[in-house]
Amino acid sequence: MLVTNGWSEAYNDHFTVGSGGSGDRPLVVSYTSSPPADVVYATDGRKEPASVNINPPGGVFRQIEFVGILKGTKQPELAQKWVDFMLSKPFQEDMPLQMYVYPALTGAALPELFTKFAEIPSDPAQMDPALIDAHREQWIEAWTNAVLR
Amino acid sequence: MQRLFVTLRYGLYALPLLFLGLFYLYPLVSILRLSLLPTGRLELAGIGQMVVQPYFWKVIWFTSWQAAVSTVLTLICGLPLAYLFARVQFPGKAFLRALTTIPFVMPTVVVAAAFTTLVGDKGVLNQWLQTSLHLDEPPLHLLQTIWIILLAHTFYNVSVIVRTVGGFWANLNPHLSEAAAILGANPRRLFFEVTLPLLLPSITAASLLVFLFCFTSFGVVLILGGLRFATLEVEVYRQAVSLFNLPLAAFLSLVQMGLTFVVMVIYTRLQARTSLPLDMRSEQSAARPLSSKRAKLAAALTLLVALALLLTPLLALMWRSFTLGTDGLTLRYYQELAINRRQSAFFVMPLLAVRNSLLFAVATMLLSLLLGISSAYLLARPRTWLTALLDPIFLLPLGTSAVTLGFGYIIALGSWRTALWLTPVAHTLIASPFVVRTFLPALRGLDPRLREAAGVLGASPPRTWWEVDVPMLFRAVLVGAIFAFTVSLGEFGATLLVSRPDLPTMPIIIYQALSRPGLLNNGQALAMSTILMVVSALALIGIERFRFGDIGEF
Repeated sequence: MLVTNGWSEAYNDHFTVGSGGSGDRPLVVSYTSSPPADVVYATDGRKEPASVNINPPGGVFRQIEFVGILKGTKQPELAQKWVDFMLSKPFQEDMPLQMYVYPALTGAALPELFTKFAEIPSDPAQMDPALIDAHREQWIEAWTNAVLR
Repeated sequence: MQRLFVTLRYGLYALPLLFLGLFYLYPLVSILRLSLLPTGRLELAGIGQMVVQPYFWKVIWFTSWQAAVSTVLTLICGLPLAYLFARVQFPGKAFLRALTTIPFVMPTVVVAAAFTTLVGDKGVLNQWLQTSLHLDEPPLHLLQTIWIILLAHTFYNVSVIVRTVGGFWANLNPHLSEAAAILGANPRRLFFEVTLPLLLPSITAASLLVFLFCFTSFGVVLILGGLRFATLEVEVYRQAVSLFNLPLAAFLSLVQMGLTFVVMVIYTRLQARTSLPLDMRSEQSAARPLSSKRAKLAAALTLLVALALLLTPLLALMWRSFTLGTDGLTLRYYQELAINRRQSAFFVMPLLAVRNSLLFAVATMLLSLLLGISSAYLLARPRTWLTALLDPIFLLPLGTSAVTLGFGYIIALGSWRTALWLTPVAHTLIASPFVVRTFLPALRGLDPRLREAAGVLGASPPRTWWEVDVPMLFRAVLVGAIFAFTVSLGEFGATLLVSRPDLPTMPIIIYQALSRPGLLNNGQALAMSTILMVVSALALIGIERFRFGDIGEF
């Protein structure tokens, strides 16, 4: 196993598909939304992604991205309006093919590329956020010591 | 007139001090105070735990020894090249010298990709060795080892030696060595007893810059060396960004600054002692064509090896930008740079990124020259406690953790954070130490008798400056200008924090392309890197052609 500094190096330099063949790692830890990007940013006009997802039960973790308003802002109404806009249907439906993330709004329709190639894992690993919060640093430290040092 | 000149001089001395105070000390102190004294009281518990861990000492040891070894390797590769560029006449010199500087501006992410293509387990070199030696396994495992870190540090820093030492060497009066040769010194003795002592101030200055670069190395260690290696800078980043442990990050950056300060105090002492007034000559009068066949062969071989080391990663990168994911050649990735595929409101034409980068680089160059040269004149004054203290302080930004300073900018600079001029200001903070270090040895080497003679003959101080200092020091200014320009073109970490989304630079475009999956994005990053290379090479050749009146390369 190779642990890199971040997603970019892993996907673009070492992953066989992402590096256009010069990397030597056929498996990469990435996002379930990466295969649609393979199609959108393909160079050979392909209609199907060059990579597929492996979603073993309990082997995928759900990543949630946040938007928030900072305490002490001088423009609370404007900030509220911006958050409302980000949560509106047009924005949420546009986001998948811009940021390669799933919409947070339940009614938002997914693009076809997502429904075909980025199926939502049925059985992701789940953990109480409070538990993660209590142990985050300790676990990262333990993982770093076990894997990297 | 006289009074005005004196006032102007002190005004210029004050300028770099004001600049450092406002854009370095103020944000730095703000973040350190916020990190270490969040409640107004010093919290030492976490720091106490860190210091007793063997890991902490291991990081300090690793940071120091890899920087020292990298510096020695860079000197070994750089000095022969510096000699060739300074002393020997050969065709295509300006062009080749510009090529040696390109690695300096390349972002680590794309260089890492180029190294993977070349020396990775499935890379060109391993495949060639495997087929020619009939091996089942790739023989070289360089990636994620210390070797690739040392190799990459050498790759990045050779130009520092070539430029600083070479620039100084070119102006040394050849008559001294010729006299020694006539008196019977063999070439070896001539080098060690005449040339080397004369070059020493500029060699130590260049080595110090290389050492500091490797000491605070971040991208090379993280991306090429992998996560098993950690310099202090990497550990600061991990503590601050991954764990959000600001007190510990602040403590580690203080340790890093402290160690840098010690190194610089030792260096500035040495530097002030080894400087001698020198008899400087123009490059044309000092450079010689090679006469013997053997010398020609040796020179050609040195150039070939050094350029192979420096250029193959760049050529690999360029090649990939035309061939990635296809069997033939393609211009697809270059065309794609101009297409707003995501219909993004933040889309910026890549040609505009070229323009932005060049404008920022020119602004950085001018500002760094102004501040760097004023600083150097201040430091070259008769030694007092003030100059002794300021000398290492002017270098401190190079030894400061970029992550920490970046956080400092965010909390301390308020609405200035989005100001257009903040990008060149941040670049200048990193670039002006280069100007100081390349200019100071030349300034100290300026024979005071020349100025005295001008004064005795009736020249006013401004006229003496204009007709003695300026022509004699012009070459050192040029070297400093080139460094400031290239630092700005390639700078990424600080730019990411202070640049505005509507005015991205070339490295920012490369970074953004690499942060999305898909070959088209990967290819765009490579195409933009190739454009960055070509633009830098052209700009460097342009700056080198700049002449001061009819004095030329002096």
